[in-house]
Amino acid sequence: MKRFLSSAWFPLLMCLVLAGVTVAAYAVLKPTGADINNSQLVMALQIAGWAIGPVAGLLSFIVICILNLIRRIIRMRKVGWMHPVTILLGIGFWLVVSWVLLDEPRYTDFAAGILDFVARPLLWGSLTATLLTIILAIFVIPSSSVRSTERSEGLSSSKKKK
Amino acid sequence: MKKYFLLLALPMTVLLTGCLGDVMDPVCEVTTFVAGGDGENDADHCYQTAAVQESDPEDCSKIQFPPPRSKCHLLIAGNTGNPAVCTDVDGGMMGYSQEECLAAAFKNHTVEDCKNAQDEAACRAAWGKNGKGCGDGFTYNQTDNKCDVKKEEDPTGKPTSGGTDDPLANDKVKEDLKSIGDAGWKKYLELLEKDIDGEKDPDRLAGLQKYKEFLDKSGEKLEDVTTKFESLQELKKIFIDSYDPKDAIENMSAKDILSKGFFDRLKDKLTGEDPPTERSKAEDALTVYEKMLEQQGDNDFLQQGRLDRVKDTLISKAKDEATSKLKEGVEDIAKTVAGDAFIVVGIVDHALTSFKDGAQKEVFVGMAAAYNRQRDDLARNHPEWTNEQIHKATVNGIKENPYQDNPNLGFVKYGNLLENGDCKDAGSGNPLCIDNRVFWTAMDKTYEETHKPGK
Repeated sequence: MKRFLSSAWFPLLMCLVLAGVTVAAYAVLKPTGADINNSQLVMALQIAGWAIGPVAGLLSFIVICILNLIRRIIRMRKVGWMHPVTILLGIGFWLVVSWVLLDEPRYTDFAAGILDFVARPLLWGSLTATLLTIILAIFVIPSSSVRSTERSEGLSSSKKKK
Repeated sequence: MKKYFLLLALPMTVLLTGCLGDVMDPVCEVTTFVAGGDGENDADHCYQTAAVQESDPEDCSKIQFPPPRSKCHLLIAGNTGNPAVCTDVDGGMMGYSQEECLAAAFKNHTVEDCKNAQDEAACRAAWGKNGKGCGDGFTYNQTDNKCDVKKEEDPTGKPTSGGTDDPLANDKVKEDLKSIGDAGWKKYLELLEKDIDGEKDPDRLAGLQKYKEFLDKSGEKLEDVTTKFESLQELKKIFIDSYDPKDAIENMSAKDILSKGFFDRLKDKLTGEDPPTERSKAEDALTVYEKMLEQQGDNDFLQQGRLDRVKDTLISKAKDEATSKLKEGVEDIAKTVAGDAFIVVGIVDHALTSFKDGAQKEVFVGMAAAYNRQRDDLARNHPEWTNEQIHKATVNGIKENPYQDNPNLGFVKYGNLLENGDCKDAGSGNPLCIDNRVFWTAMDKTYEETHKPGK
């Protein structure tokens, strides 16, 4: 389990959770757009509602990959605690966006539509993925500190042998 | 590490300022489908939508045709309660007039909504210009057409800059009035009259007038008392303080009282806010009533303190018994003259417990719901009335016909509650009573808060 979470499967899993929970939330909440006069707008928002989950998940995965590439370049790949932090940076953005959007007033049809069809399901998905990352990170961080302790003990014992 | 944090924080601060309207603006350059209803997919309506969402009247200038442009201003005024946005309304044949725009701004809003406006000073000035007052802590300056901050009463008696010139603050006058004899007394009253004539602030004026009335009535009792000029100034300050609206329940914000905690807000964001029902609005009104009763209890305690200060300010050479009689006489006069300003009801506790009891609470909920219903009807039938007129008519309607309210709406009848009278009259006798000072203010404040657009 810890090895799995320390690997590249962890960010992929979280992005899938983000996408999946967002789509599921949209399906459960079932916004109708009854208070929106513009039928074209409603149709576009219905498509956006289904699509926002996979799009957010994909974009987050790309961002996480880029951040991991940067980590590799600056030689911080083996720093264990950076792994969940990188994932949080990729997913947390959607949490902030959806939270702020849901504070917008519902003055216009467009605003009401964006809040009901996009922001609310996205908040479900990003909040679930973020909380899951934080909870699972509790397994990753201690394991990385154990590994670094073992490594330093191994080095010191090999020095002693010499 | 600090660098990385800043890089992350910058885009977040942009987002946190609210951006939906900003995002819509460039979209209007490309496509117009975000606009109004079917058949209205044109650039003007798209820009109108963006400007209304952003509540920025300057963006309304991008709209070419006058009717949607004037409607843009009207919608922003109606959403924000800022009449200053109506200055650019040019009306025209098919558009909205400035009067209609102003009416939308004043409907279901108060001048305190200006705190959220981009230009608070212009917003308050527009309220003041239309005779609605500048709000708590401000007075309208007709010469400059703007709202000035109210000056605090200086206890040293020095004239405040830019405010009323206090003729009693002159050092020479102080010398002349060192010990109040008949001539000095007359002179003091003359100067007080001058101060009253020059006073523009309505709250200070009320305090000064009541102070003068107090002096007129208590003149005989103060004859044999050596009262120093400083003591009279202290008395004057006490009266003015009693009329200070700072802690008044009328200035309490229903929005602050009804604001939700973090977990309630999270629940609303995740599941959507439930549309308010008659019952929920009535219960909100009772929440505000409860908080206002607690504040009124604190105010009553402070009033008692002020009354004690009135008594303690007098210095008497007479013996203790005479002094205490003098003090009682003065207290009675102060209470009679100043009315509610000095009356210590002391039954706020009783009013609080009265409506918290589960079984009795339903009666209060019924009356609060009736207030909301009747106010909705009056607002619909009399769109030209101001909020104050509608509130007064609603209160009168409920008091006059407590048993005429529709009985089939799931609310308990409240006629008995009104028949039992005010809690200060009922005392501890009848458990079912309202504090009239507070109850109707709470209903008014909650109605304005729960009927804002965007709710």
